[in-house]
Amino acid sequence: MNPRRSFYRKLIYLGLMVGLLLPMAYISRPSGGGVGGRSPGGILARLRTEHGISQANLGEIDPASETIKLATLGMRGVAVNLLWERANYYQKTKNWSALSNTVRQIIHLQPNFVAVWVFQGWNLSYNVSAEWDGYRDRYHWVVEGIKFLIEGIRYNEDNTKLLTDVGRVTGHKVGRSDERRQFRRLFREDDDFPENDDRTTEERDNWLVGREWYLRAEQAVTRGAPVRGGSELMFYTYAPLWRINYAADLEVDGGADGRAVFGEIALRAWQSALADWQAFGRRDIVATTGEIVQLASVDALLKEHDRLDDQLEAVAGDVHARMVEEKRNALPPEERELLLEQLRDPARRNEVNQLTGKTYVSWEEVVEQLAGEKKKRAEALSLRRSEVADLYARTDNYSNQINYADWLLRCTYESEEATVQAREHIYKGELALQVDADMLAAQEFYEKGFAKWRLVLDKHKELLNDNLLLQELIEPIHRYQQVMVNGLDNEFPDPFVLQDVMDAHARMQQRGQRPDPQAMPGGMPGVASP
Amino acid sequence: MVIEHEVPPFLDWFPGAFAYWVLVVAALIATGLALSFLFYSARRGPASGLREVLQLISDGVSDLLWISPRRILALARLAVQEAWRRRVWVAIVFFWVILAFSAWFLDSATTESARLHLSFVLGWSTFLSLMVALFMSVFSLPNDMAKKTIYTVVTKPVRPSEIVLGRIVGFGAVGTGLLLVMAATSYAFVTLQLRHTHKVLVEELETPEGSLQGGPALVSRTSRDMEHRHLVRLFKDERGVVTGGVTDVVNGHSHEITVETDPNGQVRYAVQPPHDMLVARVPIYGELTFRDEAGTETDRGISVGDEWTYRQFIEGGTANAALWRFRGIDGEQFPNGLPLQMTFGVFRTYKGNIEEGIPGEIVLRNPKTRFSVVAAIVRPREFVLNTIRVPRELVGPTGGPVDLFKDLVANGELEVQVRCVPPGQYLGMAPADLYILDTEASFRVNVAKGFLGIWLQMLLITAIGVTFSTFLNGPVSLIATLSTLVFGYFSMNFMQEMVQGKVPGGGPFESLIRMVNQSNVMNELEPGMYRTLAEAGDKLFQGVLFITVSLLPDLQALSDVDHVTDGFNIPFNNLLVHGTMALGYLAPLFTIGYVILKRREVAK
Repeated sequence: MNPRRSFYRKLIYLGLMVGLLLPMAYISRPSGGGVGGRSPGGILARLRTEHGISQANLGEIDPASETIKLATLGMRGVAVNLLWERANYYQKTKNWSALSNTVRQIIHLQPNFVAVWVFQGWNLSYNVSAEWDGYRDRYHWVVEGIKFLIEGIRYNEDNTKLLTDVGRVTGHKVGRSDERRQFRRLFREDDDFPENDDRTTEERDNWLVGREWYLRAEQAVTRGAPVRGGSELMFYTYAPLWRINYAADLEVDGGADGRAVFGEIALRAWQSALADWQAFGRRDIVATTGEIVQLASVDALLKEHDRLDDQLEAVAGDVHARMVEEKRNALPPEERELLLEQLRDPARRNEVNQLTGKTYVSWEEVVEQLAGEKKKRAEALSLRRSEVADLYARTDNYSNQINYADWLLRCTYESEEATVQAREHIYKGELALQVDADMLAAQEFYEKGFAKWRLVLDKHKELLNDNLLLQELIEPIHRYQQVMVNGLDNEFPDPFVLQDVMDAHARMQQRGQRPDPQAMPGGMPGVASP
Repeated sequence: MVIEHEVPPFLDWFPGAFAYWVLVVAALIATGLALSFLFYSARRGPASGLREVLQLISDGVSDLLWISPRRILALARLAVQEAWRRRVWVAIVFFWVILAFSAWFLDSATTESARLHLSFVLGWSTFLSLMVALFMSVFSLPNDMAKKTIYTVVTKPVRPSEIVLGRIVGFGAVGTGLLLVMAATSYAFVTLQLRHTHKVLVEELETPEGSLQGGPALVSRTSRDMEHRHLVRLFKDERGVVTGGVTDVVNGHSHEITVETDPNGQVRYAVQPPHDMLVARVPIYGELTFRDEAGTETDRGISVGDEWTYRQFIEGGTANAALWRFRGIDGEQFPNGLPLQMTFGVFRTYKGNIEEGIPGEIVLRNPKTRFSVVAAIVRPREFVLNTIRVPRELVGPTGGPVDLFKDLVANGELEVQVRCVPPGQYLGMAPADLYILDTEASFRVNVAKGFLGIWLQMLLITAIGVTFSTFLNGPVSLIATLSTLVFGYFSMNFMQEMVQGKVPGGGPFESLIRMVNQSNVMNELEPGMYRTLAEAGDKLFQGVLFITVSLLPDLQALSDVDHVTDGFNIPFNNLLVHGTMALGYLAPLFTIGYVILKRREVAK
């Protein structure tokens, strides 16, 4: 080849390289620096900032993490795979310090891979802690998992999954595991738990601390972070629910000495829980279909629905009834007879079955039969009724998912003085019986407690349908029975002040309806026992 | 300490290992000679081939017998100069930089800071020394040959054996120098980093509830330093004066507390440096057997379904027991009683009282007379070393006094039985989980012994690198040596399991079919041609792998760093066995390197 041509070719290549360098520099210029202030950087830097995916936007930049990533020379994926394999091996061989160190190396390599933080935080708190026999050691590893998640938040600020996970583990693992008494006590005494230094002894309740983290997650959403790890409904449920759990467990072992707390403190706790729950009920929650629902509006929606029904009846006159009658008459004789039988029995009148379906006449069908002004008005009412019905169904469904009404009732009656006093008397009765073996004192306290419960049940008659409360009350009633009959050689009072509770409990057992402690989110509320 | 693969006593191990070594070396020599014969026969005929082979043997014997230490040292010195010119000392600087920034990488909140720091320094020392050995050894000869500077050596009266050995010795010396510096730096780093103390929180001093005679008079806590704190127990004498105290064990160590009075008469409590943090325990291990519910002795205990079967379990409230037989117990060794240390697993079938551990009975028994005494009831804390000191004077079953060494030890033999007390609960143990603490060796010397293991690895990599470089160019030697290093360090267990057929899912061919079919490893493949071919291919692969595993050095087995990190003394037996293993590789490697270099036409 002609050396001159080779030289010219090199010049052309050089020119192309320089030429490409200019647009590349424009596109890839990093943000920051610049005369007179922070420069937004090139197109890529601006896009990263706009979508919140630049390293600085995600969270802290850790020099150790950056160093290790560079040291893998582009084989970060291979290194991470090897480390995961080692971590699994160390977990299998119960080499906890090596596991912890290997996990740290993994997160140094992948600090913004949230799934690693989530998985290992859960792994340490739930799996590794369970491997230990001693409850103090278990607590240590539960807290290690929580601290791990908190560290993950440093690198991934405003990640709602991590924020809610801290809240969940702090509440659920500390407050609902088999070792909950011990864990809650250790948590209160733990000066080294993050931010516990800034909290009073009362504030060092695991439920309140967990709630704090849920509130931080909500603040992150307010700042524009997406809700991660579940629906909006569940996301907003936990903060007020953790407050309810705090109030409930306060009356079990919420005191600094591990004993129950009643009186003004408990009353205030329940009243705050009620306020929180009601505020949650008024919150706008975006359903998965895009509608906005408010859980507290279920009753209002039902009323609106019924009102629209009445208005449609008024507009349509007897058209609806006539059409229903026609459909009934069109039924075969045996089915018609069956339907009439159902309608004659008041208890079966609202039964929904195949026959009801065959004779159902929708308002849309009625509207078709109308004409003129009536038809117009009926159409508008029918449309509105459909919308209200859909919204009611969605709201009712969401409300049932988290037992909104049940928790509202619980908060309502628990935040009354009579209930707090009732629980206090029963608690003292249990202490008198099981700790002091003082039958007379136990009898006195039990009877005071039952009297207070009578007041509560008279005010809230629907409580007789609450299986959990029935189960909760039947235990001290049975112990009272033991005290009276076996301990004091007295007769069990007849009529007994809470006879309706005993009857309702018996009916519940007959139906085979045992209350499910796991039915409600957050688990069963604290049961008052020493 | 977890000992999954025990190093056998040297005298038990050597005969079998030596015989196997002789077999392998003989096979290699025979293969080499046969290949040489075929090669030369093909070129010049069988008679010529035989002559060449005999010449090879004669030259080889002569070169090996008349090898000159002086020339080896001279070549070694050249190798050292070459390494220095290539700035091998940068590895030391890099090591110091790593230590300086270690706070970035080390978890300060770990419960085992001694183990973490020791693993850190030993891990980096291993990595850097092996990398230096690797890069030094693989490029030296190929560079000399490429630059033709090898002529300045081969034109002198130097034997090829001396060239190979000189490089191995030279680079080995460089690696040794690096390791010496790293060892000293590591020791200083670890001792300085772990040195700490606390302050007693005087404002929290209080009399404990229900304090008994002999129990602590005052309790408190220490300040939080190095991400932990201790509970403090102070004791008083008969006059009611606080004389001193001790902390609880946190993160594997405790502190003594001394009482000082300053010139103003103020009493101060000084927390002394940590105890039991950097140690080298010398254990006396026993042989473990189990007794089943019928009282029959067996090798295995009960499995509780754990994936890791290292520990076997005994059931509480039954005749199940674990029995250790110790030998060589001398009363004069233990004037203050018998120190037993143990790490047991715990398995509960019901929660029970979670505030208390599961109690286990330690029974000492005379192996001859079967006379036994309950020495202690322990509630072992899982995954933590529990220590008890069995006093010399014990109380027998009838209430009479029992002397531990006179009544329970027979001809130096003692049996220690462990029984789990509560029914439905289990205690788990492995042979190394209970031992008699003989003494504590020097931690400093133990670290040195740990570095000796790394030195053996470094020497082996040097020899492998030099050997490969006698017939491969630099980059290819690098890949070959690096592969040997990676396989020998990380994959040996896996390859051995493959050879033994323990890996579910078959070999590479069967795995390929499973990957394509997306079938899991537990399902049988459908019978057919593909399965038959795959199984045949895998059998062949297994054969090749068997040869590879037999020839490849198990680098991890040469190292005893886990003894150092776990705080146990490295027995001399281990060093002897590992040293012999390394020598067993070095000799053939040197020989292969010599033969290849001799046959190679260097001066072309």
